[in-house]
Amino acid sequence: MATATAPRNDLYLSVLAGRAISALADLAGDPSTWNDRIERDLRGGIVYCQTVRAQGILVLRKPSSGWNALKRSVEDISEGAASSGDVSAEAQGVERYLSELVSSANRAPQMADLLVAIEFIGKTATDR
Amino acid sequence: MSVTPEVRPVDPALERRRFLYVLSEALEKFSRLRRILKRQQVFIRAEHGEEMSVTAVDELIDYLEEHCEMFLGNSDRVAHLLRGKQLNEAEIKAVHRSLGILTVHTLQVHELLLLLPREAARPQASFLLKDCFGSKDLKASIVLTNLFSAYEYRFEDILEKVNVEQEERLTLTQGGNVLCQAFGDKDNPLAWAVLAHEYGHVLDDHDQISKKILQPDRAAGQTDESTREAEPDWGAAVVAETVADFIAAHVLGPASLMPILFVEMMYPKLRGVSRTSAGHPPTPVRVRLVSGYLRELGVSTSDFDPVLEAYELDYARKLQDLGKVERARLEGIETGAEKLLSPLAKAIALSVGTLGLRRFEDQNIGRARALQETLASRQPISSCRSRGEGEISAGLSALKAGEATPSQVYEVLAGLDEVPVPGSEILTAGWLYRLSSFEDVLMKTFLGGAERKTDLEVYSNYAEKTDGLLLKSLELADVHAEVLRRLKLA
Repeated sequence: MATATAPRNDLYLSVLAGRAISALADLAGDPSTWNDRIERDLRGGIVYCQTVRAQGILVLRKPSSGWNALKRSVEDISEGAASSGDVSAEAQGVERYLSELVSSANRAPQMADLLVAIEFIGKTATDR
Repeated sequence: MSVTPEVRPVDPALERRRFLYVLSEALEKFSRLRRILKRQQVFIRAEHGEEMSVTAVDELIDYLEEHCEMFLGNSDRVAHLLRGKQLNEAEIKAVHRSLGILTVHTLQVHELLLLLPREAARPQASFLLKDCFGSKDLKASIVLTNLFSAYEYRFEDILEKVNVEQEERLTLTQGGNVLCQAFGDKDNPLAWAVLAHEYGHVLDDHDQISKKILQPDRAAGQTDESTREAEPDWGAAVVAETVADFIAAHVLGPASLMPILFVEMMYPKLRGVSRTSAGHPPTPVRVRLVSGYLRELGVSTSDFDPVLEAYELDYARKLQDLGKVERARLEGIETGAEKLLSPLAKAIALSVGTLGLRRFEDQNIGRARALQETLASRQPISSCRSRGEGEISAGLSALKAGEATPSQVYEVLAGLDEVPVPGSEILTAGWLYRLSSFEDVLMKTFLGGAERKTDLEVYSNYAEKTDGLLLKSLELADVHAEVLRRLKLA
């Protein structure tokens, strides 16, 4: 059996997305909460948004469809793919919001903003 | 019932139940997959020793653990939701989205198992099918494969897509039929109802049931233009799926619906229109048709109604989340499927009835309820007395000293004989046990509070023990039936 010799990569995009969601939920539960973990995970969320913005939603769709040659042969995987322009704009908005949270420019998060950010990150990280 | 379930106002109890089902299924899939990978890790270590520092399997385990840890960042919120405590909208959404990420990425790893050393399907899966279909030789092999092949496409469908000549294709299927089972379902008999559906296709192919039922002009008149253009064989495919659904329900009862409903609830999104290319009618249509068929057979679905209700809500919510165009297309397909299949349901039921299969009856559910109690006491349920205690007791009381003949006495005492429990009852009892017990185990898994660490092993062990009991039950019931058969022959 072939073995993986590459070093371990602890920057799985989906994990960054999930951690950012948890950090946003922590702030939603108690807006005065702030600690190193929340800051680290929000920064991870920024990296996530930058990647989505730079490469479009297909970067997240590729692994699942690419792994399954069988699926490609019988289904049209492009169906339902979001327009990369829309996704990029949304990613930029969420990235800006996360940056404001991290830079202390906005430490009183509004529920509506948190919901938008959680929804965007969650939706793009589960799109397959 | 309307064709498309309307989005009902928020019912906290039903929303909570839906969340419980999704969470339990996601954790089960995760822990089963991790178990398979750890087993593979042991094989690789045994073969190669420690000289291989990091293998592909190690990477996959690491990937799963990272996602699990990510989800456990929400442990307190999950504990709150389980206990019906108040969370704000963003917190609730965060739990659902994180669980969705865990699920999707666990399932991606599942697809990769196609590339790893294979394991074989459990013999108990064949025991179950042989018992349900009353056949000594299934003329079908069960192979482990990905979720996609197990739940969406048949092996035959894939052969259709492979670029080989028709004659070669026929040769390929001469070795018998292939029933696809997901790797993650290998040790989980509760998911094996899917195999009964797959075997239903085999019987349908053999007896040409769906082809006889579906007149081409009838299909053309009932499906809408866009569907016909997109999928010219769509009418034939949905009828074939319904025949397979009815066959599975005929032999297994309402439990035949459970695996697909749990799997669909677990996915964070509806898989949209592309899924109809697999020929499945939208699942709500399947549920309505199978429930109606079971009612006609006099089999109650009441023990499973909480799941059906939660599924209906889940589907409605996910439909709402789709884009306008895709939602309209899916609703159109649902209407088309309902229009085509509803008038054919009676004919399909009649044809399935003539196959001479062992029929699941309401009394099987009654016995399964009693067996569920045995499972709860962590005992296997492979056999039970041929008669109830009341009947035996009445028989003994009726015997009079000095008057009863030895044969009369033996006849009463024969009621104490143990008989093997049918596979369909074992599966139904397993589902009833799961539905009655999993919530308590989730509570023990997610204790909540900063000092109380969430231990997924609690849920994992529960799933593993239940698997073990059901596997043992199916195996022992088969051995028991074989012993009785040989005694009878002797």
